[in-house]
Amino acid sequence: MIGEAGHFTGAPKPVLRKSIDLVKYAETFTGLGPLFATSKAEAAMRDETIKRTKTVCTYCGVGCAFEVWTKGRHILKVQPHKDAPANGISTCVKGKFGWDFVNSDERLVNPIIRRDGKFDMVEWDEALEYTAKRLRAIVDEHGPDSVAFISSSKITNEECYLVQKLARAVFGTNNVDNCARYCQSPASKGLSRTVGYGADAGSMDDITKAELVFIVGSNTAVSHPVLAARIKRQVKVHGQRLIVSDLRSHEMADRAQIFLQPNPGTDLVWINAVAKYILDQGWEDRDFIERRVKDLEKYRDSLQKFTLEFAAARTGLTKETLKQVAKEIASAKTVCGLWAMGVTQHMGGTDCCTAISNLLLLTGNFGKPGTGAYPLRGHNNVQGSCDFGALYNYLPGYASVGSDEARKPFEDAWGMKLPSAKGLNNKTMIDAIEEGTLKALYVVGEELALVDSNARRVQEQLEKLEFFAVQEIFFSTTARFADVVLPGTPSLEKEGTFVNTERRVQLLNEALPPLKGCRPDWKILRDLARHLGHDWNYESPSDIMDEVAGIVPEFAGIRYDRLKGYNSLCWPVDKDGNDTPLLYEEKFHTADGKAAFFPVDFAEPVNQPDEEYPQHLNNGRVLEHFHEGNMTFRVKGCVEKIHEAFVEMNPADANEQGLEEGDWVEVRSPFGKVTTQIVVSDSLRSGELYMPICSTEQRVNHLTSTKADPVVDTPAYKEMSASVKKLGRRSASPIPKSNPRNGKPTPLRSVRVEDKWRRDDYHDPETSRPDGGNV
Amino acid sequence: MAEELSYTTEPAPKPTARDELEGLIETLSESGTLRALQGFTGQFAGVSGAALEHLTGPAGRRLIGSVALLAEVLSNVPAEKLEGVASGFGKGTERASEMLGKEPPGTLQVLKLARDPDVRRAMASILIILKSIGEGLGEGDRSRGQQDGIATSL
Repeated sequence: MIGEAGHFTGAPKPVLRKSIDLVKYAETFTGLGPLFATSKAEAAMRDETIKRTKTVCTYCGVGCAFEVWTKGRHILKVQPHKDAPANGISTCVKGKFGWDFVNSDERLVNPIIRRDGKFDMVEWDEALEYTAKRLRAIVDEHGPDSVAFISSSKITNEECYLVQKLARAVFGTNNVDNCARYCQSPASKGLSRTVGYGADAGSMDDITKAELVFIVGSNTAVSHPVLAARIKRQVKVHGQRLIVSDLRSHEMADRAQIFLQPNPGTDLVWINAVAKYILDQGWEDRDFIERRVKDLEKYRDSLQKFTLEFAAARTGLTKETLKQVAKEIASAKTVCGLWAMGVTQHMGGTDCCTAISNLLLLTGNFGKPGTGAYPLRGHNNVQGSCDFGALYNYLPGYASVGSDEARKPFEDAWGMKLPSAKGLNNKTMIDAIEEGTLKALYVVGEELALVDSNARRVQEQLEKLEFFAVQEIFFSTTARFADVVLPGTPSLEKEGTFVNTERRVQLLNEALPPLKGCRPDWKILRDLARHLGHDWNYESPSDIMDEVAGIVPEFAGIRYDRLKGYNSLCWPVDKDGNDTPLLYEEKFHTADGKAAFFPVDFAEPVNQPDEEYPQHLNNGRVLEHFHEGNMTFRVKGCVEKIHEAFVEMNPADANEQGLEEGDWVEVRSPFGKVTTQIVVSDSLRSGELYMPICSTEQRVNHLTSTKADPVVDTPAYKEMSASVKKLGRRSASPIPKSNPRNGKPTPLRSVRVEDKWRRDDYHDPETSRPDGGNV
Repeated sequence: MAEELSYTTEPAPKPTARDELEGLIETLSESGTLRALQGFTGQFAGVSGAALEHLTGPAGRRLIGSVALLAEVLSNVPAEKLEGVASGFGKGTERASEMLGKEPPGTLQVLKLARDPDVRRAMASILIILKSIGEGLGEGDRSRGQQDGIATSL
């Protein structure tokens, strides 16, 4: 922004300084009037040259909407707006400043094809024809299930729809998935088992309305900062009760009235123990259960082993704490349960999500304002990727591939028979490459070579593919294994819609034209289908949305003209455009309209610490970077705050091993090793380590295992043990002094402006706002 | 088999001056400026001929001469020194306009006004300026006289 927005602000410094001096001199004779007039004229000229485009953030699942101001290809600023439904005037540091990557010199600007041991730049037609030919040849030889597709949580709903349509309608396979497999698939399953939709039960407004919020396994202040800000405000100013369960003592934990720090992987135990205690005390919401929930007795029986004694022994929490939690949840009129990867990325992830949903049903916390289950979606459009059918078992709108009735509307619309067998998911695709049954893979904007667990194994498998195509904006690590790489575009260079964590569909508009040589991903997919002989005639993303709305009842009323400006729609949306911010007010999304308790048991975590790997290794996000960091490590400001990953260690453990901040160490697990620096932090307990998932080189997934939740195949990223070896050299701390972590917060309840107004010496200003000096 | 390969991306071409020029042309066209310019350049001979005819006439010459002289004089006067005079002139004009359509003041009223220190200060200033103008005019005469003398002696 600095030096780029105004017509004169880009002048060289000496010229600018002399110009300012000249204006100051002239002002003494001319007064402010002519200067203000000149300034207004310049502002009008700026209006002419600066383009303001409403878009939706490309980072987390909160779904912040704002204007992005551009001048040519310069991204001048991000300007939030009070009407933005999820964020209002708030943004986080990434949404506000994290856009340098769009104009990075490292953007791919030509299709490339692997030939004779190197990549050659080629024209689009050649790249698409080559891709089509190779995929078609493999399918002809090995059958439709020899190819698979992975969609992206970064692309739009319309693009995700085309990815799954390409898999199903063009190649005849259900081998299609998205990165929800790595994160919230357990939540979708846990909720579909109990209440119906695998999505948030309400909106962020409901979370702020709740009398009590409990957060499990989520560092919300870092992963969903704008939502965290809303919760923190409610807690601080409006007396909302907050319970947090996490391995690390982070900002949300600091603000909670009750902070639980259970042993790793034991959340299900305390949740079930609390549920049992509520039932034992007769504190359950009997009226709600009688009217709306089935299978209470089965549930009660399943809880028998979760006594307070058992829970205290296994979780390390005290019985008194568990009783207190039970009392708080049972006595609050409205409760929202929030969770993230700390719950889902375990062997028992699906069961733990189910346990949370059971607990909310037990206490009547569904279907009324201020209640519900909220798996916090990590990416901007991971919810939409699932909603629009990039799943191996569901068509768009969660229509089961195995159901003739559910498939029929798609078969009618697309004019063909569709496969009915479940396909491969992200995990089983890698297994199938290893087994030799999957021959070709088409990946759109997913860095699976780094973000899948046991990343080295994934990379070894990618090398075995007969054909591998990647649609990307950068030459990613995954692209290094590709045969063809097609340059797509980031969110600012396209039109389309995203669905945020609260099922809210929002429209993003094209702020910048696609970088020369790149194509919006929907165009790439459309053009590839054409090269494969399918007459896909979409002229714009809205054509695609119109097609979806005509097939999927949940999206029947979604139209671009209803999403203009800051308008948004929370699905299900009926034909007339009536949306549903709060689900289940009258009935649950089940065959009989009733929810059901789904009994779940506790499974011991895997890869537990032992003599060789004595410490538990946790991983997650940092505020300044997003996910693996492919975007934010190309943002100067973010890199200034944190330039590389590190491993956090408790001070006592560091002291015992003779380690200090900045020491280089080798972190080793049964699956690999990385070299990184130590950050000493008292947010962890002794015996635990934490590594951010963002990195340029030292990837935590070189340490994680292939073990996965048996229900949905989500990797157990959070179940790992490791050892730390000192390497004998030290550098400056990877967290520079300028990082906010090193700041000294001065918490205030508010700015307390009312106190100022009450003072005797305070007088109201004569005018309500500055009048510009009567000019 | 697709072994891991590296690749160095070629940076996208940055916008060039030509791109900016194209943008400017678009803007000029959309705003109608280009059309006006086209009209002007199409009629350049006629428009410039008319302008020059006016500027080369007696009135035009006087205008050019006076503007140039005024600019030279003003560039030699510090703005701070002009400020008081200009500001007073502005205010005075405003007050004088209030007298429009009213009876002119009588002689006694004018004399009374002349006793005002501000009026006397202004009159003194004007007289000093008049004196300087007179000296200037005198120098002009002397200079012309000298030139005439030289010419005569030749």
